[in-house]
Amino acid sequence: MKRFIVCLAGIAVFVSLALAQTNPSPSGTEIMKKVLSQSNWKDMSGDLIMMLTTSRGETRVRNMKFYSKKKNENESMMLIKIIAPADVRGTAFLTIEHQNRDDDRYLYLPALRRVKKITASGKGGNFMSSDFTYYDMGKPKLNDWTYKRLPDETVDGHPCFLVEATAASPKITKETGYSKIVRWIRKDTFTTIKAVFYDRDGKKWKGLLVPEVKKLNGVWFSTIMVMHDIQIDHTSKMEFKNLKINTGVPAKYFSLRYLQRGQLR
Amino acid sequence: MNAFFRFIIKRAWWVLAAVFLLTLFLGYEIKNLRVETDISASLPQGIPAKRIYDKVGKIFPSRDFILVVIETDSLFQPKIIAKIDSLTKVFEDLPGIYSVMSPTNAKIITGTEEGMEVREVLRSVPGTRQQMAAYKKRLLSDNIFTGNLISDDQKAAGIMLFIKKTIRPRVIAGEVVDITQKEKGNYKILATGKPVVNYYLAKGMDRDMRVLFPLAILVVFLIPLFRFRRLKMVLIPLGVVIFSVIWTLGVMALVHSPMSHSTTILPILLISIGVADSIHILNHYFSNSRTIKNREKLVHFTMMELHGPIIMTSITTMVGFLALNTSRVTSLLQLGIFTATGVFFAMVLSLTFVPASLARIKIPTQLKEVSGGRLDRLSHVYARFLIRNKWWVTVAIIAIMLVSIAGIPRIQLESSDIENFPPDHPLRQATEEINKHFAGANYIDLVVEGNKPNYIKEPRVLKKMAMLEDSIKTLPNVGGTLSLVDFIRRINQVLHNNDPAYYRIPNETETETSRHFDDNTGKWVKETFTVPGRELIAQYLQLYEMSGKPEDFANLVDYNYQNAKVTAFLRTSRRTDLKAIDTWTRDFIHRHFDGIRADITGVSELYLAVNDLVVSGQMKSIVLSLVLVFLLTALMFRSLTAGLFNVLPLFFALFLNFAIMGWFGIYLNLMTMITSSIAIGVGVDYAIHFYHRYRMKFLESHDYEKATDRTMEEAGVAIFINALTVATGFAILLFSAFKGISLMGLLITLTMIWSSFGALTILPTLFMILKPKFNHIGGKK
Repeated sequence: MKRFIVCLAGIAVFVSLALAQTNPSPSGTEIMKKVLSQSNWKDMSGDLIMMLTTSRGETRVRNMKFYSKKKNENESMMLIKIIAPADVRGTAFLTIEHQNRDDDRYLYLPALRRVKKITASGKGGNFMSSDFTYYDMGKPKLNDWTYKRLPDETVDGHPCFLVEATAASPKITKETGYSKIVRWIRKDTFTTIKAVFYDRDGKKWKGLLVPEVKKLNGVWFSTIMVMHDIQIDHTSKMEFKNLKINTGVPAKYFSLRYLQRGQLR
Repeated sequence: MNAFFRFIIKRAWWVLAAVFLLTLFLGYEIKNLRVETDISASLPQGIPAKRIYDKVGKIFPSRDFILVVIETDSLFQPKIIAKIDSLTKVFEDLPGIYSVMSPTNAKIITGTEEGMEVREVLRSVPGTRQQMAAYKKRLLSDNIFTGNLISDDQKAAGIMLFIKKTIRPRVIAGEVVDITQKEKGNYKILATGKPVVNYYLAKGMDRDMRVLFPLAILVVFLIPLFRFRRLKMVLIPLGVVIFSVIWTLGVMALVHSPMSHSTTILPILLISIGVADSIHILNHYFSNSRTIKNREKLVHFTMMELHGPIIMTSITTMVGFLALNTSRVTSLLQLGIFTATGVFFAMVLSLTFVPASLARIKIPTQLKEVSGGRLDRLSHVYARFLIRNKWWVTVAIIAIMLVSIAGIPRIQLESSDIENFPPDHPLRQATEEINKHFAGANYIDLVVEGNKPNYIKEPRVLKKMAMLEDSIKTLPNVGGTLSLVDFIRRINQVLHNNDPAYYRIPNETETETSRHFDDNTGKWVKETFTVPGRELIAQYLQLYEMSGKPEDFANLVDYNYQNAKVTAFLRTSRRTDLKAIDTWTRDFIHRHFDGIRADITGVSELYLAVNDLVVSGQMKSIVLSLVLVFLLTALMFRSLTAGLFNVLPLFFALFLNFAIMGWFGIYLNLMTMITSSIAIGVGVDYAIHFYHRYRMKFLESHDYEKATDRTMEEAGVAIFINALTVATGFAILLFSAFKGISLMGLLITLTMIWSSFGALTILPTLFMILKPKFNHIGGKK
């Protein structure tokens, strides 16, 4: 009997081990799904400070106000107006995201009192000549990438999942400029804390660090993001302040007519 | 000295072992010897051109560029465009490349109905005729790039590769040249630009070292062999020159002094100069061997007889080269110092290695007449000729001097790093071809330096830059320009319905029209208003940045818009052409730039600065070395008249040298200028030898004519053979890969002939006419 119990216990240990093998903690895809599902906001507004630094240590700082509103689950609209520096104060930038065609982008130039359409350079284009692309700013589509989970790592004391996203098709690489993205995702917040981007040729291109995240309306937001282009040694830092969620930003803010009025001046 | 040579002869094996060990040690060091082709390394720190170049280098990420050109019958065919596209990508991926500007990746600014588009001109390689036509139209619509990247006849396309400052330009140029040489198809592919020049310069230097050095060795091997017919004997002068070259290069490596275009000639110089002393020793050794049969005594006697002249002539030669130190051009300075070092080593070897070796070699048994019977007879004929025709000879020499002086004003100060290559060199052909069709492979940069951020956005500043750009383009040899101005003008036009009248920098205040939506009437209302041009410009740039990359303008303006650059592409690399453009630009800034600070820089400016330094340093070093040689010889012979007589043949050689340059159109430049120093340093040896022997012979007979005849036989033949050996050694330089060096070789070879001729003709003639008193004191036998 005793022997039977020992045997049973042995089997139990074996089974539980086997179960542990076949049903590990979430897969890469599952992790990314959770990360992407976090963005359950309707609108957002706040201040944005963008600082660009060259390899030679020169910097450019822009202070902006920004408003964003979701059109639907996957598309949103964004209005940015520049507060400083003075010579471009009042310049306003409107982006209407489109899922299946190029985004619409407009710039209001107060000096000309005119709205000018900027022909989109695709999602891989640089956002306001920073190291962030429009793609980096938006929400990635889950199925554009195939995910592979790599062994967990700890970043700055935070236990992280490590997920490697490879472009599902050459088209995605062409659109985004990335062949592969490796993300370190915090286990507690399901936000990206660090990422490395690889260019079309599979060479290391950019590194992202997220030194600050804040919980607003029950959702975690990256409030400081630093993107470093390793190839040209150029850094862009975006800092969001006074972030407000779901305050009912009016839809008219995102119209050409509103932009043309220059009322944001 | 007596004891010294006794010691050397006794401890011959020790001396030889020491020489070999030192050679092994220093020879091993040579592996650390660097090659430096960058002209900026030749400039001392304090020079303004260098200071500005370095300062500007800190502001902008890249300063040098390589121009790769694809030539074909018709550019706009899918295969060619695809090739340009793939090459562009290959170049972009090279680690040393900062950015690439090509007809496929250029960002074109075009007006659209509602705004402006900034986009890479090539989206995908055009497959159909319509697509090709559309691409061509897009490309040619923006004149910022068409002038610089597409030839006028549309048969050639250029790719400009801007090089990172962190990498040695010639390394990346080597990679680019390799890539272009692998390409084959129904097109020609050419590469040029300063980094490519440096690459081929290094390659040519390398080739010179590999070809000229063995040739020179062969010469110093063959000439003594012909004369002494003893292999063992011939190995002695060979050892002296090889060891002295190895020691000198080893010392250069030890003190981290690089090989430059000028110092490549150093081994040849040392071989030619260093061989003279040991040949001299062998000569006397052989003639003394007829009377002295004891080996050690023979060597000792010969050395006692010769060490005086050897030390004297080595010192004067060293002084001639050290006088190059008045030049502030680093590479010349190094050439001077290390040649002097090498001459010193050769002297040390002649006084140690040579007697030690001779002490260990059996006296050759059967000896033929070595001083050359035929030459001896000729020397008497020549002496008699001089004695009979001393007045005619004087007249002839004065006539030659006058013709020479007349030639001096005809000397052209000219150099060109491209024309330094032979006409059939791929670089020279590529550059000449490219300069025909493109904006140019050389450049000059005008840098506007603002006193505060955003200075460059001021309309008055941009307008001056535009004015300069438009004016400099009208100069000959200026093929095109590039600056931020072009982008602002273009955007201004595109945002005003593509109206060509707006292809300009906005004024301080501009009147604009727009419309706004009137909420009361519900209609769009037209409005006219004024706006500062400064704001327009800032917002144009903002608009461009919206679709650009962070460092799109990095090479045109710094990040804070405080400093900006106007690059003018030049189709020339000739000093006089560059000087003309430089003078014009400085004058333009002076007259029109009221208050706006601007500097001129670029590799072309460094080139000019080096040349100016060489010229200004040259007169100084000639005068200095003449004065030093005068003082030294006066001291040696304890007589000021003696100093004067020793310097006189040098004047003859120098004038003749300059005359040949003037009359035959050989340009005066960095390389050819060295000739004068060599002429003085080496040429004075002949005068010293002659004077020394003449005084001796005169004091014996107190007859000027007898002394002339005796000296001509005893010293004249030796001087003639010595000069011939040195001249032959220098003639090796004629086979250099560079025109500058081969011309220098020619000039030095001729100079050796003039100065030996000067010593053998002018000195005896003057002695016979002026009848100077020779004193007894000084000048050991």
